[in-house]
Amino acid sequence: MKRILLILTTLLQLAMLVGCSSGAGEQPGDIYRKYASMPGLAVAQVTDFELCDTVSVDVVMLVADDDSTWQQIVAEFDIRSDSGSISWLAPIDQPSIRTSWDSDPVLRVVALPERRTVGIYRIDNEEQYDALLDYQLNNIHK
Amino acid sequence: MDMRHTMTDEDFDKLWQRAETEGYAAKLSQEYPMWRARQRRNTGMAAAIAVMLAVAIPALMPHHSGYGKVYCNRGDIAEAQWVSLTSEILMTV
Repeated sequence: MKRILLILTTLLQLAMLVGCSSGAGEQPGDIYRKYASMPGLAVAQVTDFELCDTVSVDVVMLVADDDSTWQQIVAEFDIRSDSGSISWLAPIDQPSIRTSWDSDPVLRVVALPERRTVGIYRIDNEEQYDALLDYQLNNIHK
Repeated sequence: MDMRHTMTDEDFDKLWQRAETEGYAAKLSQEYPMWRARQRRNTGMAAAIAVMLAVAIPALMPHHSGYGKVYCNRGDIAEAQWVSLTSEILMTV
């Protein structure tokens, strides 16, 4: 019995090792890499941000340290407001461009000038699009 | 009676514990060196299983942190802050 247990746990460890190795090659996306080296800008990519039990999305966050850096972001993303929040859909890897929803993957970009912050949510399918809306509706008054 | 080939590890462990409790384990070990070897092997195997399970079970537990990984170009902002901001920004739209 112990031998069988030992063999099973060894196989389990090997399977986990293979699983970990396959994830080791995961890298941040193009948008993260584009902005990560920009001076005065804090950049993060949150992978698999859970919108509900079964749906998650990848998100890139940009936070400018100062007004000067924020003005560069404003110009690049064509943000035409100083207050509230602005949201639009954009083609993949082109977050500053406005587009409309179709079956292709898109980015949902949310800019919040008062916090000098831009959030870029990657949406690959309709399920993620719906889950993003549900997440907002379910959490907005909490 | 030599029971090395007929007794399960579990039965052997029970017998060994009984022998220790009743004080004749040392005598048995002297008379039957294979018993001592088997007891050591059993103990080692149990320890190996315990260590491997201790590593494997936490890794197999469901991941409920709400995110996978956080890549960041700064060291001064914690992962949790980024995840919180990711949620907060959505609430502003």
